[in-house]
Amino acid sequence: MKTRIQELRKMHKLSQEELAIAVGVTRQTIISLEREKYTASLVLAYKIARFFGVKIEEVFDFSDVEEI
Amino acid sequence: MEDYRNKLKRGIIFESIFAAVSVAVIVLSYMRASTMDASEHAGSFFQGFQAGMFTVWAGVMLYGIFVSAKALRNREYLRKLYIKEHDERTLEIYTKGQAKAYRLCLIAFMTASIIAGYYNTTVFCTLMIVTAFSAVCGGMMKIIMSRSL
Repeated sequence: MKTRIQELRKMHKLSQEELAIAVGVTRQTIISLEREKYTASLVLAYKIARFFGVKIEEVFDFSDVEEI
Repeated sequence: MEDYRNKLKRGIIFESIFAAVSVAVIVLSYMRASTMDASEHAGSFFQGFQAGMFTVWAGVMLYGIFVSAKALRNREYLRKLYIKEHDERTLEIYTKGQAKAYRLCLIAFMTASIIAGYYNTTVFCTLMIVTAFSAVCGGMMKIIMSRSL
């Protein structure tokens, strides 16, 4: 899933480690999220959006979500 | 975080008990081995293997006690340990990896038991029992998890 996490993180001048500690995950999770290899859970997505002060839709791109 | 702190305290108690039991087994194995004569040493492989296993087990328990005690003394380390243990990606890797490993092990046990059946009945029966027990455990866990989630 495409995300703007890296863009938002750099805007706030944060390291991956600082963001990871702030939202309660490991740095490896933030790396995987930024590389779009891992899809965050609803709780983690909410925590990240709340941390940056934006809506979840502004962080995560849901346009590629498959309709069944 | 308070629940996690209590969990670490309980963990220290259990790890101490297991470490003490491991040390007792190691000492008993050593005492038994020292009374053996040369003819018995050939059959002492399994006792040595078990003593080695319990030595590693005791080491793991002591390491666990050290990490837990350090986390209880240092709030920042406690937080990092909590994040490491509850990271959702790590838990997902563990869950998915374990599920695939379980299926692979079942296939391997079944294959081994079929091959063993041509050579040794005891080994065949042992492997079949292990395969059946693993399959039943897996099935039961699936039912339990389906009901709890």
